[in-house]
Parts: sequence; C-alpha cells; structure tokens
Amino acid sequence: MKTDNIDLLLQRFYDGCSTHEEELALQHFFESDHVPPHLQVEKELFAYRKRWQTAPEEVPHDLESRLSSLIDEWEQTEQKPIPQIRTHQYSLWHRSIAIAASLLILLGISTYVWQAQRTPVYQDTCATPQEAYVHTQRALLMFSMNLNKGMNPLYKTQETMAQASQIIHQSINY
Amino acid sequence: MNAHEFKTRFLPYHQELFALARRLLGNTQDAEDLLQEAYLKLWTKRSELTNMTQPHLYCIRTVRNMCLDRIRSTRWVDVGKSPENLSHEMVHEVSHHIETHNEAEWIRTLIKELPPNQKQVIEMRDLCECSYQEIEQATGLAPTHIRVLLSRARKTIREQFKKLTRHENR
Repeated sequence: MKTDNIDLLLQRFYDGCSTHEEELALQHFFESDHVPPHLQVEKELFAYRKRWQTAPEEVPHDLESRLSSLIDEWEQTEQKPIPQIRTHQYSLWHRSIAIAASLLILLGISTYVWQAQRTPVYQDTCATPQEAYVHTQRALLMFSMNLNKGMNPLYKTQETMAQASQIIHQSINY
Repeated sequence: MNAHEFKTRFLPYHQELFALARRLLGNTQDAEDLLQEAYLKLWTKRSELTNMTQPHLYCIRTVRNMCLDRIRSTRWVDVGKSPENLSHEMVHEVSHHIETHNEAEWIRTLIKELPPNQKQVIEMRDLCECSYQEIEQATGLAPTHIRVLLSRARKTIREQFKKLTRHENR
C-alpha cells in the first residue's frame, strides 16, 4: 500500500471518521514489515491498540456457579405450586359473603323506605255509627265553643273601634 | 427446556458475554448485573429458543442490545477533566505496565484518564466495534460531536504515548 494512501487513512482515523474497513486496512499495514521510519511510532501504537482490543477480560471465577444456581432458583420458583389458586378460592368465598351482606343491607334499606312511604290506613274506633255521631257532635260543639270564646274579645274591640271612629268623625266635622 | 438443558445450551457463552458487557459498560459490577438480567431474559424466552439455529449469535445480540440500552439510560456529563498533564500516579502506573510488558493494560490506563464522554466513545468504537450509528443512538450525541470526541481521544492517546515513550527513553 502506498504511503500517501496510508497518510490519508491515518488522517481520517485521527479525525474520528474512518470506517471499520479503513481501520482494518491500517491495522494490516502496520502489522507488515514495510512501514517507513517516520511511521514507526504509529506502528507501535497500533500494535498496542491491537493488544488492548484482544486482551481477554478477567471473568470473575465464581460467575458461572452463581449463574448456574440462579437458573436452578428460577426453575424451582416455576415448579412451586402456585399459591394463587388458594387465594382465588378465598377470594371467591369472600366475594360471596360480601355479595350476601350487601344484599341484606339493600333489603334492609328498601324495607325501611317502603314502610315510611306507606299511607296510613284509617281504623274504626267506634263500635256503632250512633256512637260515632255522638263523638262527632261533641267534637264540633267543642270547636264552636272555642271559636266563640275567641270571637268575644273581637266583638269588644270592634265596638271600641266604632266609638273611636265616631269621635274622630265628629271632631273632623266641627 | 429444563434448567439442565438450558445451562448446557447457554451457559458456555457466559465468558464471552461477560467480556462484551464488561467492555461496553466499563465496569465489572454492571457487567455482572447485566449478565444475570440477560440470562433471566433468555430463561423466560427459552420455549421460543429451542429450535434456534444460532444461539451463540442470538446471545451476543441480546447482551449487546441490553448494554446499549443501559448506556442510553445513563446521561453522560462531559466533565472538563484535562488530560493534557499526566497525574503522577498514572505515570507510575503506565511505567509499571511498560516495564512488565503489560501493553494492553497501559492503553486501558490512558483511556481511564480521558473525560467520560471521550472514554465512552473510544471504547464503544475501538474496543466493541460499534458503528457510528449505534454510538449515536446509545449516547444521544450528534454525529459531529461523536467524531470530535473520538478524534480527541485518539489524538490524546497518541500524544501521551509519545510523551511516555520519550519518558521511558530518558
């Protein structure tokens, strides 16, 4: 590969816009024995870069056993009888009790409302119509007596008013 | 598929999958967490995976996508840490790596010193071979910004390398 071309690829590499293929081409070039002296630093740098890229990562020694026991745990969790069925039965039992209770409450309220709204039924208190007639007469008499008692002061007031107005008329006429 | 069959089929890939997650996420704890999550995902989907022709590729793709999703959910703040001057500890650390011929380690040490955004982009690109589009989607950064970060990171490593090799030759 021509050095001019390599300079251009290096330029692109250090500008941060080289493609994977261009980076690979540079890597191959610097691994060869035809690197001119002025690019020796780059050759070394690319060698270090390659070692960095291919260096194995240190894997924690117990990672495999930990993952393995985790997988066992997941399997055991799946195989356990699912307690959901029992809670489902409970919830069904609870639910039916709740429905029954709310029905009872509803029944209670509606009975109360129905009782309250029911129109009163008249009941006979007297044995014979004659007895009822006497009771009615007595009640009406009591009513009229009380009414008259209330009217008497009214008559008196009316008389006083009439006298007063007569005096006023006389004084006006004079 | 029972646990035994599942393990025989998928557990052999755990080292490779861990390495991938470790490189993409940048630390061991996150990589371990993600691997457990990934295996749980595989376990719950195992009935669909029985007749899979390439379980290896499927596992890699799953872990890779999960890592990219996790990076996406992390917001990266560009802390203005200047890599211009090497800290004394780092010079010591890198010199030690050079003396013990642990070359892979010292590039890693240099990258550790980069600002978080640059570190993220160069690791995704150079270590995990992500495409520019994948980096863009995972980090939420604009393509030009990604190029600038990658360019700065690569140039910084070159400069530090030159400095350090001079330091060694003295």
